[in-house]
This record gives sequence, structure tokens and C-alpha cells, in this order.
Amino acid sequence: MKKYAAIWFKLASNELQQTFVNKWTNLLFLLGKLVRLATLILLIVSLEHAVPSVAGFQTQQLRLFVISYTLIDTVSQLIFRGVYVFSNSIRTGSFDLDLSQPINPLFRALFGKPDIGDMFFLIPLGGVSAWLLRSLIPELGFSTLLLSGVVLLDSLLIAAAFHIFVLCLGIITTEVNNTIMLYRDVSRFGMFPVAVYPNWLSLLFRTLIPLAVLFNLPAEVMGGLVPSVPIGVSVVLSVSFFSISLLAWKRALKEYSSASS
Amino acid sequence: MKTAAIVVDHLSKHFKVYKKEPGVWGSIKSLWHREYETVKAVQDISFSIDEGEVIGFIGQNGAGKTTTLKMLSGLLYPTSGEVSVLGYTPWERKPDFQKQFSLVMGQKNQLWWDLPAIETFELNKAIYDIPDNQYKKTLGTLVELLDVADIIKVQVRKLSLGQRMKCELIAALLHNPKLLFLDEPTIGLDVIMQKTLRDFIREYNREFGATIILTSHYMDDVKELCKRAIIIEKGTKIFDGELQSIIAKYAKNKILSLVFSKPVQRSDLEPYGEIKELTQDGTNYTATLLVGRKSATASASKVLSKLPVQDLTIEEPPIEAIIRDVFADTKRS
Amino acid sequence: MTVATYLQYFKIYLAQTFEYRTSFFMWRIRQVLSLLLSLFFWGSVYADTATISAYTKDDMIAYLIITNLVFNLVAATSLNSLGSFIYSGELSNFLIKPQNISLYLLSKEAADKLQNLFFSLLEAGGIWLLFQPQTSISLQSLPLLGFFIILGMGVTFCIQLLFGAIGFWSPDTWGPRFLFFTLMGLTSGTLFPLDILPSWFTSTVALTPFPFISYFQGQLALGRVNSDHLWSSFLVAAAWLVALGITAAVVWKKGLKDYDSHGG
Repeated sequence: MKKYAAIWFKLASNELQQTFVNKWTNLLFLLGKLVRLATLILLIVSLEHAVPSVAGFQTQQLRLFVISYTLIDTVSQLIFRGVYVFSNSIRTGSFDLDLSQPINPLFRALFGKPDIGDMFFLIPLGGVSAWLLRSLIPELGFSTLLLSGVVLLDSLLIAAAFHIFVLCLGIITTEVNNTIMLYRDVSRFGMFPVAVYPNWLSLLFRTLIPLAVLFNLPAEVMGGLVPSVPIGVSVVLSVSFFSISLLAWKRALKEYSSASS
Repeated sequence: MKTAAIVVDHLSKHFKVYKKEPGVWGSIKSLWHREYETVKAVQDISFSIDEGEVIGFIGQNGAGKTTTLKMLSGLLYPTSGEVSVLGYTPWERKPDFQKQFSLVMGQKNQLWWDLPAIETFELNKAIYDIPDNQYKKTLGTLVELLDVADIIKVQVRKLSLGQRMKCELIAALLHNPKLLFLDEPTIGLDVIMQKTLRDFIREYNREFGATIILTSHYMDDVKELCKRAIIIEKGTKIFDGELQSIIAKYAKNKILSLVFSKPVQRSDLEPYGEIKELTQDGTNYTATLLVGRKSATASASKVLSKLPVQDLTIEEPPIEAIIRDVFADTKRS
Repeated sequence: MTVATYLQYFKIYLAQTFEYRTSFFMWRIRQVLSLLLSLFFWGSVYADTATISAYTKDDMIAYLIITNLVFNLVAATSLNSLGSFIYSGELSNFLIKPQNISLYLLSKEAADKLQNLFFSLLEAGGIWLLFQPQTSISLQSLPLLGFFIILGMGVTFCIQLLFGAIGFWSPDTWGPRFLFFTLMGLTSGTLFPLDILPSWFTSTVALTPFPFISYFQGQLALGRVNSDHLWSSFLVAAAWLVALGITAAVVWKKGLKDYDSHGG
């Protein structure tokens, strides 16, 4: 554990140095993300003026969901960025080198490339979130805090599971770009409460593709709303998703045949 | 008696490859239907290697060298057969095993492109659990042997290919591996850098008693470093033994490349050897001769004294030519 | 340097699309998904209100399907990696052969657009049948729609050339691209009609080339463009096309010159 922490800090410090080497590119990326955030906020605030309620929520409460989605999405990109370049490391064979080293290859593939740019993005994002949510989150008692911790953990486990599934597909097809973007597109549905979707889709998002657990629950628990999935169910879902993803990874590694022979 | 570092027993590896029909229609058809064929990359290979041996893996592109290396280092599961490396089964990928070997691939890099090599070294220090004092000592030795004290603090992308390869080697050797897999370590390097690396590899073997498996396209690499060679062709082992005996048997000739300052006649060259090529286009006058291995030096000095020679090199015949001959022989027998 | 050369490039790139079939299917699924997300969300918003800024639910659904279809044609591109293609020196392999680089890029784009047209029409048609918006699309507007789609393609092609040209001088080709195309994605009007946002936003965007990526075509199809608006929009779009075209030509000329001089 201590060894892995040391490795992660070394990786992160290398990434930080690289970020500064390519400072202009990273600055422009940051700007792009800010523009996207600003437009999104402009849209939901305009909507608040036009429509009083959406799918049983006051339109203003959509802010909770949009912010919860944006924060969780950014944090999981920050942590799991390595997944995005995984196909490259398969194709160039650098995954072979990782495999030959005394370190869990899943660790390297999943956490090996923390996105420092997103760490910087979290700062303005945090500020904007606090401002937008100032009147929407009641004072949090101990039990709410505890529950928030639990649902956040569930959310991260599900996010990790999805990313591991993408890695598995990457090993089998030597391709992740489209899969990870597919994940991002599907996960974008989590920007709004799953109740806005048709019943069958909403059910899907509470079970097989648990976007409700991934993005909605933290918003609902902190905003004092009725959870879209019972907390107990969310724990069972996230633990089983995560376990299945680990099994899939083991399986995929076994299938792995190198890029060139 | 020496102990075996590697024992390989009836090892095979088969791949499935997809066949594509040409053209747009073929591509569209391949959307829902694909035909696969099985490629036997490695077919029933057995051998054993002693501790401290330096052994050459020779074969043409796609012969199965790299596939074998990948199985020995645990990257690929074999289709069938048994392998024991340092007493471990490689594809279980036990950390204790991984800390004892290293894999260097000439065409692949582990160095961080935008950062100085030293940052990658520090990362490997953490990955391989190398204690501080051992790290410092090993790094010092390697840096001195390869003469790269200044280079390791320069951004990797600003280094030449040779400098980068030196740093790759250091990154791979920091944990003092007992076993080293070198896959085309000198590929793309100039002649001087090739020699530097060869000297270093020999030195490393002598100093640390490491077992080394080397694959290379360059006959010189193998000839200078390895006593024993294994030749692989089409996935099967066609030779295993003293390298010297193949060279004596199959590489009977050396290649003499000549550049002249003035035109020469075909008849002037004929006494010295078999003429492979002769160019006389008014500006360039060059020739390539095949000369007997034993008489090569004598022929060269005769040519030098009799003809207007501007430049002269003596080379080993290309590895492919030797393999072809060995292969032809094994098929005949 | 004959038509046959570029026809061959066209064929190769068309075939290549189907070669990476996982990529290909995933890409199509992604297109459909992002459209469905918009449709479901807006559908749910209309549960509690009849109109938003003069759009009924049916208008909104028709608008979203049409603009997404147009966006797929106008903005989707095979030239995303043009910048690194240039900077890495790969371009040299093309320059030494007797062929015209812009015609080559055009053939590549054409192949990409053709398969996009085919599949986008299928997808949009399917989704239209699924949601059945009760809106009349005037058939007379179709030739005009086609004209503005081609105009939009011209504009995006020039923009792609310009961003690619960064590669002549700098390896940092991704940052500017990302910023620009994020901006374009948000202001092209595929996520929501631009005129539901405050008017300062809409009128600012109207001066950029972005509305011609899909928003304007959507308005045209819904019959919301009167003849004055049509002419002024045409002038703005044509001005952008000419300005971007000339800039791209000048920048590329300069770029190719510098490229040769630093050895490629």
C-alpha cells in the first residue's frame, strides 16, 4: 500500500512537470472546459426562468444534479485518465513493459496518468458550484454526512468499474478511444435526474447501467431529496459491479496477446 | 556444475489472425463476417540456458523470436508447453520473479518523453522497491560505464537515439536483474554506438554474471557477444549450438565493399573474389566482392596495393543469408 | 496527378472506415446517443409547459433531429489529426509525390462525408419515426437547405485547414483545436435552439460562422427564416467562407514555404 502510494506520487509529480512543459496546450484545454461549464450554467439558469418544474423537481433543483455530475465526472477523469491512453500503450507495446514490472498492471493502467489539468479545473469548478448551490443544500447533520460518504464511495466504485470494463475491451480490441467516449456519452445522461427519462430507460439507469448511483445519489442525499435508488441497493450494486469488473480484467489479461508477435 | 536459468519444454504459441478481402465491398462484408486463420508463431521449441550464459536468438522478422521472448518474460501465455525461468513460471507474473529480470525492446521505450531520464529512474526505483543506497550505487556505476552523467538530466525528447538507448538500458538495469532479455537493442543505431552498447553488455555480463538473451538483426552483435546461438525459422528451432560452428560452416565468405577513385576493369577484380556488384557510372566507381573468410584480409591488402582504392570495408554476410542456408540444410536432411 | 488518383484516395478512405468496425459502430452509436439525450431531456421539460421561446414540443424535437443530422454532415471531419500529421513530417511523404495536397484532403473529407450522409440519414429517419414530431417541413426549402449545408461544409473545411496549419510551426495543435471546437459545439445549436438563450448571446453568436454549422439550417427547415433574414444570413455566411478561404490559402502557402526551409 505504502509502495503504491509512493509510486502514485512519483507518477503524479511527473505528470505535473509534463503539464508545465506543455503549458499552453493545457491552458487552452482549461479554457475550453470553462467555456463549456459557462454555457451549461447559462442554459440551466435560462431554463429556470422559462419553466417552473421538470419531472417533478423544481427547475432550480436541476442545479444539484448538473453540479454533482460535473464534479464526479471531473474527479473520475482526473483519477482514471490513464484509461484514455491505454490503447496507445497496448499498440506501442509499452503495456508489455508495464506487465514485466513488479507492479499490478491494473494499477498502472487505471491510475497511471492522473490528469493534473483537471486538478486545476476543480478550483474554479468548486467555487462556481458553491455559489450555485448556496441556497439548495441545507445544513448537513452527522447522519447526512455519513450517508454522503457512503454514496460518494459507491459512486467512485461504479466509476472505477466502468473504467475497468473499458480497459478490458481495450485489451481485447486494442482500441479504447471510442469505448471511453461511448462511456462519456452514456454517462452524460447522468447530468439530469434519471426520472426525466422514459420509464424503461430510467429503470435501466437504476440497475444495469447504474448512472443513478454514479451521479444522482450524491445530489439527492446532500440536497435532502428522495433517493432514486435506496442506499442499501446502491451499496450492493456498486460492490457487485466492482467485483465483476475485477473478474473481467483477470479474464482479459489472460486473453491478452501482444500487439505484434 | 552450472544450474539452468531457463528451461523451455515443447513450447508452442498459436495466434488467430483475421483475413480481409480487398476493396470497399470486402470491407463492408467484413462488418458482419470475418474469416480467421491460425498462425503458428512458435511451434514445439525446447532448450535450456545456464546461468551467466549470453545467448543469441537469431531469426528473420516474424520467425517467432519476440514471441518466445514474450513468453519467457511472462507477457504471453503459451498455447502449450512448459517454461521455467529462474525457477518460476513466467506468466504467473510473481513480483519476486519480475524483480529479477528485465526486458529491453529496441523499438519501445519506457522513458517519459517530455522529462529528463532521471525521473523515469526514480519511478522505477519505487516500482522495483530499490533501497536508497543500492539505487545510488547502481545508478552511479551505470552512468559511469555508459558515460551519460550530463545526459540523464536533459529532456528525453532532446536526446539522440543512441543516448536514449543508453538511458533505456539504465532504466532497465537499476534493479540489478539477474536475467536480461534484449530485443534488438542496437536497432537503428550507428556503428560506433552499436559497438559501445555491445561493449557495455559484455561488461555487464562479466561484472554481474547476468544471464542474457539477445535477439538481433546484426550478425556482429551476436558474433561478438554470444558463444551459443539458437536459430528460429517459421516458429521452429532449426539450430542450437556453438555460433562459431555455423559461421565456419555457412558463412564461408566475407563481403568486401570497395570505392575507387578511378574506373577499374572487371578483369582487374576477378582474381580477388566473386564479383557481386560493379558500378561505373562516370562519377561513382564501386564494387562488392565475396571473398573467402580466411583469405579476406590478404585479399583486401592485395586490392589496396594494386587498385586505386578510396575506401574499403570488410563485413560479415547478412544474417538472413546464413539463416537461409541453415534452413535449406535442415530441410534437406 | 489525375482524377483517378483522388478517386483512389476516396475509395481507400471509404474502405478504411469499415476496416475498424468497432470504432465505426461506436461512433454511430455515440451520434445517436447524444441526440437521444437531448430529445429525452427536452421531452421531459415540456411535460410541465407548452412552449419555450416559441418552440412547441414538436418543433423542438424536429429541430433537434434536423440540426443533429446537419451537424453530422457539416462538422464531422476526418482532418482532426491534420496538425500532427504536418508537424510529425508525414506530410513530406505527400509533398514529394506529384499530387495536390488540398485535393487529397478534399478526397479524404468527401469519403468521410459520404458515409456520414448515408448513416446519418438512416439514424435520423429512424428517430424521426420513433418520436413522430407533428411538424410540417416544407419541401420547397430542401434545395435551400442543401445549399446552406454545402456552404457550411466549405466553412468547416477552411477552418480545419487553418487549425491543421498550426502544425507547420508548432507541435501544440490540440489545445487551440479543443477550445475552438468546444465553442463551436456549444454555439452551433445542436443541443438547444440558440434563440432560447438571452438575446445578447444569440446576437453575438450570429456574427460568427458557428450558426451555419447547423442552427441556421434547422431554422430554415422549420420555415422560420423570412426572405430578409435569408439574404442577410447568406451574406454573412458567404463573407465568412471567402474570408476563411483566403486566409487558409495564404497561411498554407506560407506554411509550406517555411516547412520546406526547416527541412520537414
